[in-house]
Amino acid sequence: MIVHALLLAAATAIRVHAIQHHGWWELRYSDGTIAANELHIPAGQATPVRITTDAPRFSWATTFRSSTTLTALHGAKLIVVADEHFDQWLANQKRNASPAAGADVFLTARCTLCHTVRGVAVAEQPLGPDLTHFATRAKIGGTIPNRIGYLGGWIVDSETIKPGNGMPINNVKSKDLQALLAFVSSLR
Amino acid sequence: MKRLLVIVFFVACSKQPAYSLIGDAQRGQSKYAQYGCPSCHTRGAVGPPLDHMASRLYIAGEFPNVPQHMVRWISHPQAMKPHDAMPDLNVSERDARDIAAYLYTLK
Repeated sequence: MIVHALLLAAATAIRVHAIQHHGWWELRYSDGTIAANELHIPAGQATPVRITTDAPRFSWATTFRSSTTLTALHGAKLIVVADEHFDQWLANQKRNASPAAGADVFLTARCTLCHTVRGVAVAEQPLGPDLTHFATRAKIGGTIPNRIGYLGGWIVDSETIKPGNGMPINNVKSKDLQALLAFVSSLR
Repeated sequence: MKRLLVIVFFVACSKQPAYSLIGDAQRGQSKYAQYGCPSCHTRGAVGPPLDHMASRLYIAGEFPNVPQHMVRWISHPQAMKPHDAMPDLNVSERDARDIAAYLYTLK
């Protein structure tokens, strides 16, 4: 009975493919869920993760069991989070965003050149992390706390905060900045 | 009651810097970092550098630089100047006073 349960658990255990892009991590879960930067795993469970990078070309199969942070090349930290409420987190990550005020600015400011928010817009090119559930992340760009003050500086001038991260300066109208902050903060 | 009055009298007459009556400048310095203020106020590209904020005459180019305006600006910038680049940061009254006290040490 126990063996059967263990075998069942092993067979349905989630696996993750972590793909390093310039400055960020794309996370593809074996059930189809897509996330970025913060790799949640079920707490207390060994989760197989395949890590691939482009430059240099590199592939590594490993297992994570507890929270940790990998400092990889290009300074793009992979944050692994052992989550007590993993199932809830996973279910939420699957959902599309509920469009909130400011979505129109997200489009007109051309954030969608690089960023997807499922239910709002698909990135023209997948150059930046999926932001559908951005507000659930502890950090922005895997580096600074995800709070309004940091977020404002990041959106407008991320180059000062994380040089070479790849996101351009977004010199939007200050009115539009407030709308963007409200929109992005609502992406739970 | 008499003892309390004496203590208040001494505190009021002490040679403490004025900003210490606003808040705790040391606590304010760590709050300044915690709220992410340097994200915009370091390079001076987004918000102005605040190195000499205590010597400036205006806040946000509009409000005379007095503690009352400073505390209010830190906690409710959008109410004072709608659509200004500085967002509402959900700064508590206490934290705003402490950050203001810190800024007033930057002569």
